[in-house]
Amino acid sequence: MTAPEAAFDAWQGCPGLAGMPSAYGSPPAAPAGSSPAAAAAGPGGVWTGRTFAAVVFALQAAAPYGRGVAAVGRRVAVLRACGVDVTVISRDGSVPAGWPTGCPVAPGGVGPEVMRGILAVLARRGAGPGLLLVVGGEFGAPGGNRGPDGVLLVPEAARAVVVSVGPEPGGVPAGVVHVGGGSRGLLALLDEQVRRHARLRVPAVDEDPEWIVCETGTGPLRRRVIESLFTLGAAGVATRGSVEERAAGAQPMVLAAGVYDGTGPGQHLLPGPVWTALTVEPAPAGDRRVLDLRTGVLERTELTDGCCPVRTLRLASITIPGVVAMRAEAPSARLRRPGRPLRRPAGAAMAAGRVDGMYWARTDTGTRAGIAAVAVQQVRRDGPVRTVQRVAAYAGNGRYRPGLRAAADGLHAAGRAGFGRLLADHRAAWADRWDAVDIQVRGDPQAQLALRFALFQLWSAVTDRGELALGARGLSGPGYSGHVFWDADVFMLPAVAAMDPAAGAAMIRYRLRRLDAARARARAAGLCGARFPWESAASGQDVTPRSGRLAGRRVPILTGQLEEHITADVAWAAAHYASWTGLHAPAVGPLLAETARYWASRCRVDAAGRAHIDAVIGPDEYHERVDDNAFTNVMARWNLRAGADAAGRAGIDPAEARQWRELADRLVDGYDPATSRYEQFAGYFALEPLLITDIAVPPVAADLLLGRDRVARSQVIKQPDVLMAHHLVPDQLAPGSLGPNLDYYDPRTAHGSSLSPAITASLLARAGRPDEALATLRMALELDLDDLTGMTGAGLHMANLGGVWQAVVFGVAGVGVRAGVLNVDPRLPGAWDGLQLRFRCLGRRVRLDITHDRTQICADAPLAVALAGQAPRTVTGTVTFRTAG
Amino acid sequence: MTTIQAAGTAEVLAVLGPNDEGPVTQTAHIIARLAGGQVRPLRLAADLSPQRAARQVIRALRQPGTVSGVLSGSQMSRPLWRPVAQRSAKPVVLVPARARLPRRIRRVLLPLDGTARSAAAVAEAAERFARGGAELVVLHVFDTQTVPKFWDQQAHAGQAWEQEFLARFCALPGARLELRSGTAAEHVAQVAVAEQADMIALAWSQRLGPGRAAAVRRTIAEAEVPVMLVPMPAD
Repeated sequence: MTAPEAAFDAWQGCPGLAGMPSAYGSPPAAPAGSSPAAAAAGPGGVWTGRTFAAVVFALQAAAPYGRGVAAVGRRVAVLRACGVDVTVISRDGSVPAGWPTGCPVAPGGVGPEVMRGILAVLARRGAGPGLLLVVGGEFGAPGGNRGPDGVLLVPEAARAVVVSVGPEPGGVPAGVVHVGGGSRGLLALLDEQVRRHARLRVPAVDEDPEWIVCETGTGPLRRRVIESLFTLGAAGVATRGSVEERAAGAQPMVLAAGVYDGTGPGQHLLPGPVWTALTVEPAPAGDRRVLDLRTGVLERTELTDGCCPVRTLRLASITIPGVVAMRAEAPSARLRRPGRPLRRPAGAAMAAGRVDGMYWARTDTGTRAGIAAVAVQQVRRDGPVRTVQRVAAYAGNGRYRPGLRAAADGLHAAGRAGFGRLLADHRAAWADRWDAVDIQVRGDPQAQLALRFALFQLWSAVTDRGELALGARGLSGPGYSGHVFWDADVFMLPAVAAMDPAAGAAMIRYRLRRLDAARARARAAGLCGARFPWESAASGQDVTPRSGRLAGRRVPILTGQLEEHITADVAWAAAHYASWTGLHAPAVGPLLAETARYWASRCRVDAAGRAHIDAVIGPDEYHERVDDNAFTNVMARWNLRAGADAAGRAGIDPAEARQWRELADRLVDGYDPATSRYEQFAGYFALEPLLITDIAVPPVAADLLLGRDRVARSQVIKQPDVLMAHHLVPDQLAPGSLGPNLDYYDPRTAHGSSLSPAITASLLARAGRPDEALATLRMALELDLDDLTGMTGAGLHMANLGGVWQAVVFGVAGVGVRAGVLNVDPRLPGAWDGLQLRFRCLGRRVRLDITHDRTQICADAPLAVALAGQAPRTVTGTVTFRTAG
Repeated sequence: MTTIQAAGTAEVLAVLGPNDEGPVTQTAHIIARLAGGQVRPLRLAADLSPQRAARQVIRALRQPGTVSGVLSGSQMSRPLWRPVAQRSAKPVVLVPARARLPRRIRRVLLPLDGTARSAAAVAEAAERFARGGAELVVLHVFDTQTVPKFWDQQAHAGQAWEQEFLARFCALPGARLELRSGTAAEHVAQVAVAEQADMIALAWSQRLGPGRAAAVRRTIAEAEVPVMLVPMPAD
């Protein structure tokens, strides 16, 4: 029996519980034959019907003249042990006699700053106002005025539940529930909280519209989309947001980064044991689900007129790696006693059993990789409600079958903490995350929420331990089989490096550990250096499918063979990480050198001494086997120069480094000084000059609409190609060429790739067209939330999530790092009143606050900053720059 | 709305004129076997006007227990099948003049436009076919209205699209998806041939006015197998 349970059972005889009015909502149905008083009291007395994360009460008002102080103190101690934040305000500053040691009492003030201070402290612990119970005794005063406790009623606490246990002869202000009873009333409220913890009731969620993604009544058309959107993950393991009961079309899944099954192109992420299954009959006919981005929990409430809706709450702990936890409650007639907590996933074999009081289960590939899980669960009754608490811990390994020990260690740590403390610590850790990394958009709450969703899901997909294989759909679904594309290096890594540099390092390690495989690939092609695969999985060999089906025909897929810019993209990511974080890992030098060496061997030098790269596919995959793709050549040029720069660190012969520089200078890039345009590839300008609006309204998969051959004969392109070079390596391109190329290529861009809109938005902002940028950014922000692809059910488009971060940070805010200097050059859209960015850079925590007439920069350590092309200066603390209106 | 009766009570109406007994009757028997029912022939008098014949057929279709009707879909029979198909609340199967008639329905082509409405209309028929052992080949055609906005990579996107489309609109075991680009009208009959389908089941709005039901018209004109027209409920 837990402490709350023992405490509650001992206090069942507390006087004065019967007859108390409800403080919130309707009481649960009383057992048949019970007295009306007992019915009003409910199980345990006064109820709010919620499990709070924090309680604030004014001691003197709630327990005047010292009555019941000791009893109150004992309950406070139990709740604090359950992870509940209890703040006791002593109005006159005194600590009453009999108050238990170890339970702090805060001195009260005379104004609202007391409550604001409390709210700020609670916010730092992840407890928003909606998780707060406030108890006082003198909120009202004669004449409709406010009493002394009225100072607690600040607007910022509007979502709190506020209860008065005092006599309140003048009535209570609006929003305050009056139950009276003095110390008895306070005891009853605290007893309810103790009881709810003891009975494993589902905690509340603070429904702050700036932080929650809601879905009401999911039908079959959107079921799998919601499962992807509501994925919860941490430490490289994630759980799709499927409902607990069996549901037609549901695809419950647990995935672990880097744990693959299968061989060759058929490799896919191995599903792990499913920990969320419950039997609820009948299943909820309608529900409301809330993903709280601020505290990293997923909550579900059945929509019903009945008194005891099905409710669940789950989390993937970010304080104990691999641990996941859930509470569920429903009428006992509907929520069956749960069977095994770990269920076999679809499409995988699973071994399972019990050991040392835990359930265990493991899926594996037979030899190489696997996902192990252990779990415990408890079942309780609270009147007519059955509750289930389940805690599981996972350990995945991509190279060998995992034992149970690592998972068991996590489970034991969670058990020592208890669910309440686990949740409290989890909330607090998320609060720390958002304090260091966030995007706030003033004047555009929809964009702000979508941007926070992007950050949340990027965090949910990453780990800082070992290496991180970040597939195109992350861990949110089976789509794209978990294969790693340039999506990881170019689209996700910049955001991850700014959110969690250690996770960014894990992404770089994934590539570094596959350098040998890349060398082997180059050798097999008769070339030098290292060539990375277009699609990568466990080993670093290419796992690109060789064919697909289109229009009833099998069509060859050539990207694995020809889309070689990935080699430069991998190098770019490593260099970007080093530049952004200021951390220069020794292993990166050889990576830059070997990739440079590859390009040196890949180039063909013609009789005139110009260097060419023939027969490739650029980012625009509508045109295959082209020569001198501008993006590939410009990236190769950058790679050659970066490799030469790293030559000293990599032990490269200076003569070879000089050759690389010379070759870089010779590489053609298709630039025409007369027009400032880059020809996307040799012969592109001679293609049919079709604009995308000639055929459809973008975004559109033009190859599906017109057919591959027709599109290939035209100038319509899939996504930014020349413009992608402007995004990644603008210094390698002619100054002032962004605008002309944007004007030329954007009208020809179908945006038929989910990678396209965010990067285009970034470039439009850089080109001084922020309002157009915002319109394009909105498409990217809605891509998964509104399922614009029709395929979010198979997983989130992670590159797009990283891309929207880039669009705002690199594009709108114009942030970049060059030679250890943080450059900021904002282009704020007219519809945005202000933009606040928080990110990590160069070992600092940076905050930018941008409006139309000023930019404020704050760093937690001295930082060299250059604003809008001005000379760098060192920022210490907070500095405000006035910008042109 | 399709009404499928319990096994043993379902009737398939075979509408017989003077010249098209064989194929219509044969098709009716195939469908009745699938429905676990029997065939009820309705022989139309030769001197009936098309309007009166149509009314007679519709009255017969309305009878409880009748799950669908089978008529000749030939050009000559158009004055009959058009009003019947437009007004029947139950599926109507049109047998082309040169129909290739199998002994049993092994494979059914199910064109779906990607709306819940059309999928719901054919759902019961699709389930009946699947229970009868038929393989379902779902056809979706990308046109200017239905073409996806994004298509990242051919193999992976195709797989993801197929799984999601089938999960949403035809989540029956063994169903597979064929994708084409263009218009439904140009592809339905062709794909039926390519896939060796024994029947085509099309949801439609029952409106044959100018510019409407192009896929239905062309399919009926070009199909070599019976075409089941399943009425969609009104919006």
